[in-house]
Amino acid sequence: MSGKAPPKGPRALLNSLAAASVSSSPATAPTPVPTPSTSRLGAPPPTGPRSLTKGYASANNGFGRGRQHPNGQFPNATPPSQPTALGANSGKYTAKQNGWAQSGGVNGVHSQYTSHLTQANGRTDVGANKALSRSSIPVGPAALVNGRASWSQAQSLPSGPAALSGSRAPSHHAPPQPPSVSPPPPPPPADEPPPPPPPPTSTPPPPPSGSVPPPPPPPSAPPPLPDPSLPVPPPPPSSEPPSLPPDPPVPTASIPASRRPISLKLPNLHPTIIQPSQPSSEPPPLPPSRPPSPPPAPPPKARSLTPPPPPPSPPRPPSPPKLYSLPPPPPWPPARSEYPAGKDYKILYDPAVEKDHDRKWRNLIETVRVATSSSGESSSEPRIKGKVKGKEILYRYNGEIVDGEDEPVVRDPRKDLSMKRLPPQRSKRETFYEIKYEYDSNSTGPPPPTAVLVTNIYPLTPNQQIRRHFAVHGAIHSFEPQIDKANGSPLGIVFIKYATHEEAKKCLEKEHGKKLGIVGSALNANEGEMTVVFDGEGQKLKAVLKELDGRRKREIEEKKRKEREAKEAAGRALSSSTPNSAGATPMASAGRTPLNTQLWRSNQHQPSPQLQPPFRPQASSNPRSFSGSHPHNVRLQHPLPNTPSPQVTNHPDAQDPSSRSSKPNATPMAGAHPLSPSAPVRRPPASLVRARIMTAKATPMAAGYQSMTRFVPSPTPQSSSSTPLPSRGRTFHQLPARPNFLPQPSPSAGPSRSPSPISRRPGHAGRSARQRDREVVLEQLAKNGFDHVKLDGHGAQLSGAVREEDIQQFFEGFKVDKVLEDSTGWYVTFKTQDSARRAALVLSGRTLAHNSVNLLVQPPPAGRSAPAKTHWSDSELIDQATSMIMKELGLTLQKDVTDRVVGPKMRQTTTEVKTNRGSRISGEVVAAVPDSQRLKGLSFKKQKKRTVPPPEQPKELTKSREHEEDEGDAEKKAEALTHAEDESEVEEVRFKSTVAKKRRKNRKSVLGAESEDETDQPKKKRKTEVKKILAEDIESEDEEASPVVAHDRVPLRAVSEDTEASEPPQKRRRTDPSLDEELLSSVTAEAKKLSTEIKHLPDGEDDLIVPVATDLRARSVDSLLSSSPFEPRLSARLPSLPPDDDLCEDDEDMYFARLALSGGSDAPDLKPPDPDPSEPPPFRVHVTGSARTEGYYKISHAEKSAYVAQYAARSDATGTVQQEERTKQEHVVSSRSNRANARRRAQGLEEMNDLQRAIALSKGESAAADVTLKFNQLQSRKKQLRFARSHIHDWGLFAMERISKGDMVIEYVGEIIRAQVADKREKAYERQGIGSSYLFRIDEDLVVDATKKGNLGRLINHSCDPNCTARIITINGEKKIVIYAKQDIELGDEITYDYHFPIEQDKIPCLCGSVKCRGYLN
Amino acid sequence: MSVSSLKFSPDGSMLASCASDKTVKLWDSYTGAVIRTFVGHTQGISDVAWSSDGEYLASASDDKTIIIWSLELFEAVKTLKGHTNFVFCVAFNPRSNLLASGGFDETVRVWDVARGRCMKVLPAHSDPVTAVSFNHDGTRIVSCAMDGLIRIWDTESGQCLKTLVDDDNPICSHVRFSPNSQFILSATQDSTIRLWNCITSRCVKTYRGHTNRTYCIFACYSITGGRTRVVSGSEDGKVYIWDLNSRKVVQTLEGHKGASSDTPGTLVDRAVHHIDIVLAVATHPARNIIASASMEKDLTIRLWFDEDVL
Repeated sequence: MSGKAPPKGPRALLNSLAAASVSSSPATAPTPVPTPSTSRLGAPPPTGPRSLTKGYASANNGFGRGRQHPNGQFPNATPPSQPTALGANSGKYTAKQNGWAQSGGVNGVHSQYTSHLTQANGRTDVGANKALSRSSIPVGPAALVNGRASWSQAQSLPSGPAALSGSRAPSHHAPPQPPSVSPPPPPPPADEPPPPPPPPTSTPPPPPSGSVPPPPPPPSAPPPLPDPSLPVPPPPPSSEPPSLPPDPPVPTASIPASRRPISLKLPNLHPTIIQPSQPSSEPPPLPPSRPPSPPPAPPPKARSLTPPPPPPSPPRPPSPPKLYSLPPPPPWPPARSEYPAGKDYKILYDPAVEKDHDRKWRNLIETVRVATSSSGESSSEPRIKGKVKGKEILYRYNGEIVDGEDEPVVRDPRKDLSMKRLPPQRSKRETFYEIKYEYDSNSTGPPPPTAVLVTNIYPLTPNQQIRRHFAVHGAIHSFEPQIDKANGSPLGIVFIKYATHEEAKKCLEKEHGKKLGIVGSALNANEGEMTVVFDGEGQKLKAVLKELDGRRKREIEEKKRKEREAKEAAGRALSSSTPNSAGATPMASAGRTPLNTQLWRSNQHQPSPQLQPPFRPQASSNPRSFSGSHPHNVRLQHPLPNTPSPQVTNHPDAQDPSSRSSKPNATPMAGAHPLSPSAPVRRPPASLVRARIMTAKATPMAAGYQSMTRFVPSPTPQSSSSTPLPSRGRTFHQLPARPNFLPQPSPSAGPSRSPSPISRRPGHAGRSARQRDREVVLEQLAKNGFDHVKLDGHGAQLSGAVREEDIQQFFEGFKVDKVLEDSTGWYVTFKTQDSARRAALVLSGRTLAHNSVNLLVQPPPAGRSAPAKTHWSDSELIDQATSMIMKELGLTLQKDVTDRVVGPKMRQTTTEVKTNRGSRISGEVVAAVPDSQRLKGLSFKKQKKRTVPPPEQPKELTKSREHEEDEGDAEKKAEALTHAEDESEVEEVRFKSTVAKKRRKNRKSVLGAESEDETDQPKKKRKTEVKKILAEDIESEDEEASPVVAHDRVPLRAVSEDTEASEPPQKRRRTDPSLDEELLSSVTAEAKKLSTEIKHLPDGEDDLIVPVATDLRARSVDSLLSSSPFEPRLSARLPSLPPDDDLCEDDEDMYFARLALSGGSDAPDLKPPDPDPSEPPPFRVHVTGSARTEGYYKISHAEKSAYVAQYAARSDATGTVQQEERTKQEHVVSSRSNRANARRRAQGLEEMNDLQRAIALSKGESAAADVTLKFNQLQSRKKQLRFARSHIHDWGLFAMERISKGDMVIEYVGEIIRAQVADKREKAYERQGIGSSYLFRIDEDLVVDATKKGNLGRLINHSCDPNCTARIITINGEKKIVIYAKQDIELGDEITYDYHFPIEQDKIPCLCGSVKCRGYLN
Repeated sequence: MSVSSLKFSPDGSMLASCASDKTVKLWDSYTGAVIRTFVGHTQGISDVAWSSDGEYLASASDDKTIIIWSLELFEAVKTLKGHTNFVFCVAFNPRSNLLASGGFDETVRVWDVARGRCMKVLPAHSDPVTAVSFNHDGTRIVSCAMDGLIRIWDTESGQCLKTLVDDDNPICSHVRFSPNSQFILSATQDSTIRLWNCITSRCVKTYRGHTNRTYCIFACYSITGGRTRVVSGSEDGKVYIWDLNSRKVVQTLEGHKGASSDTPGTLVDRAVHHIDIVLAVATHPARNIIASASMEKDLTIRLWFDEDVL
């Protein structure tokens, strides 16, 4: 033990010694020299150190067992190395020890030792040795004792001097003192004695070279003293001389002592060497050393005093000897400045930290060994201890430096990068440990995503399969395959929500970039690699969908542009060539049609087939009828060419759009699904085949033409037949357009159920024949004015397989007005209002032509557009709204028309109007402002004036009557329209409700006007008119039909599209004349105007119509304006909003948004009411600049709610009413009371915590000492309770918050009294008239009486079916009654528990009222 | 504009001050020279904190942000946004990978310094949080607020472990752990500084003598020189130094003067030492130096040296 302990110590010392070592070594040498025994003495010193370090023990073990000194250390003191010598010594040691401990006699012995070795401190051994050698000196012991005493700080003073004296004149004077003092030392020994010993060990070495200053270091203090007190030396010499160099020995002793203190190292290992900081120990030592010996005694004392570290002083005693060996005082005690402030020592070497790399220490030891050997063996022994194999320890004192050792450089190990630290116990920390918080309500940011967005799945993959595939990674919470809203086709995008983030993560890791394998599926080829991304909040999904949507729109625009260009080109060509020149037109058209069809087909595989079917029958018939005309023929032929793609290639225009469209559109339903990019093949082959056929047939037929023919027929059967020629021309012109149209139908053809086909595919490629069809249909429907029935669900099939006659038959019994067909299916109109509904009721679900028919009752066309393309899933709402609107509109229009249209010419206009109306109606939907438009329709006056100059095209048209041109325009318009529809549809929906309201109002006004007017059946009139008109101008009509529709829309489009520019508010203003005025306005005047306009018509119908439409619009606006309520809205409307679906959530929002956009002055007043309530009240501005410098100030709750979520939430939850209350109470709720509340709560928490702890304890859980820190106090709060009148009995306790099952509700608090007392009290209470009993029996002996003292707990009533239970628990040895919730208690419930009264004779009736009531409490 | 906070760098070589003039200034602790001025906040600053390596400064401002300044680059490296109202106090954890802040939004926020993100919001108090402090190993956070509560939080879990309340809970204006984390020093606006044993939740020492009624004045330990002192500013313009154990006022440092012209204070005050509130004090980590700063009327930062020691 000793061996180990010391070793390190010494080394440690070495550092400090390094410098001094040389000197010390001599010193040590001397010590040993004195006598063999001294050498042993030298040994003892080591033990000393050991003892200090603990090494003693070991040493002692080895040597003196006999010793029984309290200071076990002493025994240890004997250095292992000199057992033999020790042997002798040991005895002495014991003596010494004794002396130390108690016997002065022993002291005497020791004194001898001390005289020589002074080390006495250092070691009993030393002392013993010396004693042996100079037992004669009594002082020695004293010195020794002193030394030790010095260690013991208290005694240090006396002892110190003693020691010194001992060392110098120890024998002379010191002796006496020491002895006296000695007694004290013993005590210290227990603590400090050990330390002293070590010094000796170290000292010995240093002494070797008396010349060397080193010895001084430790001795420095002492030695110097000795020096000065040269006289003293004699004494030592006297004792020591025998041993050898008198000086050395002594010094050594002294040195050791001094060093000991230093080496005081605690553990055996001498982990850290601490040099006695001079400050404390030093001052004393230094002075002594420097101030020569004269004050030897004082210094020692000082030391002894100072020796804060125990040993320092004792060592000093030895110092005297140093005098001899140690010449000059080395600068040992480093300047105080070198020590860290406030510390007495500094660390030079810490073996625990420092290793003997590069064998520095070994070398050093070797050096020392050699040096000592050369100078004298004795010294080496004491200095080097331990087993030889690198385990030796070199002792040194007071930081002396051993020969050959470098001057120690004090470094801050922390700053030394090269310094090697202990091998880290744990792996090196590369990064900071990231604290992971569980996500909870207090966390910031979004929660870890549990959802993933999977894209690029092959769209035809069955959802089941996808789900199965992804379910592998974890429980799927929700699985949302995205479908194209337009047609319901899957997009190959799936939003999957997993139960946990981990699962989602796993899924992401495993699936991203993989293919969703469909085993054995040929479709795999089409499958791309899935993209899986986290999508915690569905944002990405939205983004993707939006992107797809945007892409589609872009494509559509692109397509339109191309088409327009193509049309223009075609139109130019046509214009140049005579319309009749079939060669040119057909060519162009032919080239186009095929292309278009192809495009359409390729892009919209399935849709085309579906769309076409309807045409088929007619196509076959029509072609024939037209067969005579070239164009028709050409068309007929087209079908064939259509199929081949090559043609497509010829026309870049067509191609491009197609190709583009194909990319985006491919997957989803043709045009309708531009969204799904990936899905290449949409439809089953069968459909394709059909589609082909269809296209073949359909293409040839000008869709518009067909539709025209169809429509016309019903109203005016003749027209169709008669029209051929003119229509032909038209059709021709239109042909080029048709191809373009074809694509459109396809989109619309999509499965979407939207009632109005137009709306459905509004934005798609320009006007297509289908669209025209639809428009025509719409017109018809609109004309009809009543609800109609749509054969839905299997439009394509039906249209293909069913003929009109079939349908007529199908609807036999109902007053069928017309049967219409367009690309999306069949429409049946009825002659009476509710026929449609009844028919739908009766016939829905029946089979027609082997297909079950789904009948949809739909309002007149206006509503159709509403369903709008995508976003509007709530078509129902739209339908309803539209139907209402349409009805009203119809009425108003009819009346208006009847009123206005007077005179023969008026007929024309009326027909137009009607057609317009139809289109308008549809257009209304389109142009979010249905009302206005309709209303406009009513007023014809100022048409021209007001009409916003229609787009260039109309003008051009007027100039050039060329049909082609018209067609081109029409197309463009159609495009625009579709566009407009796209935009407006959304708006529409929103506005419908408002519109409806407006309508009512309008209606009233209108009705007022109407009353005057005849209420003719507009329908009939119209029809007749139309017929007449048709008869009159068949040509124009034919032409008109399609163009008109288009034209009508143009204005609308303009409106909707260019909401900003199209209708400056002023215009409306101008037209402001109230409705009545309008109505009253002389019909004649209007008629005239109209007539003039109409005159223009023949040439440029477009022109006319356009103005009308605009006029109408303006009109309607005006009229609306006149009726104040609508004004603002209308005006607001004009600045149509961009179709930001997200921008506005309701009509109001929309309205204001528009206002804002329009910057309209119309409703500036209205704006204010719209302020942002969310705007947080401004924060207080700190006058002094910052919060801290502002000092304390109160913050009201209202203010707080602006920035503290909880407050805001609270206020929200409570609602405005409570808010008001709060504001009232605000001044009441001071921050002081707030604090008080908080305190109360906190105290409650403490209580709760105690309870919890107690519970935990009662459950046998070992309570950790810091249980207090284990409960989150915020979670266990005192329940909010209040007392109030109870229906059970008197007062009761009610929960003011939700209390979950098992929670503690309240403690039943009261005086705890003995049962006997309780009995007495009970009686007393009864006497006093206190009816209620608040006595709660805890156990046999104790009762809680809450009558006079208690808490709310006593108010809890009994119930036979209670929601709480009372339990008695023991906390800190006290029994407490605690009420726990037996079940979840809702806010406001009364807290009850079962009293469990013993059954008695005197029954107390129970009023708890519960089902399980026993009737009595007892 | 008033200086609101002072902090010595961990090595004591520099002193950081922040003020309501929206700047953070770095001073040489020994010469008093201005080393640097950081500008970037848009509102006054209430507190500043050093990272343990002295590489970064964090400042809490009324602009609801905390800016972390690099002393290497001498520029803002991170702006922590999240507080919904004035930020009042900041503190780095010993590893300086976390930052705790408290503010008028009544929350204590724990920030990931490296990422500049808020990691946790502790629903701390029901009034503005006036101080936060980490314990020596960063496992606990103590916060106090104007609601008079001192709460100890588990850094790891964000749970409230303890709440220290006095009977009359006065507004608590400052709190900090003792170096060994056994105690918590809290200053309250009843002109009292208390030392709590945070294990037993008992108040073990009470220091009085100064004046603190309105402002959130800092209180510090001074452990240099072998004796532990408690140092705090005062609204009477002095710096008070108590002996930690004896609770006696060992010394008061008077010197902060304030232009009392506009405050009809007592003549004596005016004549002898014009004073303004000493809002911030800081103690040097190694030497016996105390820095103090007072408010508007004085606008000085004073460094007090113990001549005996130095």
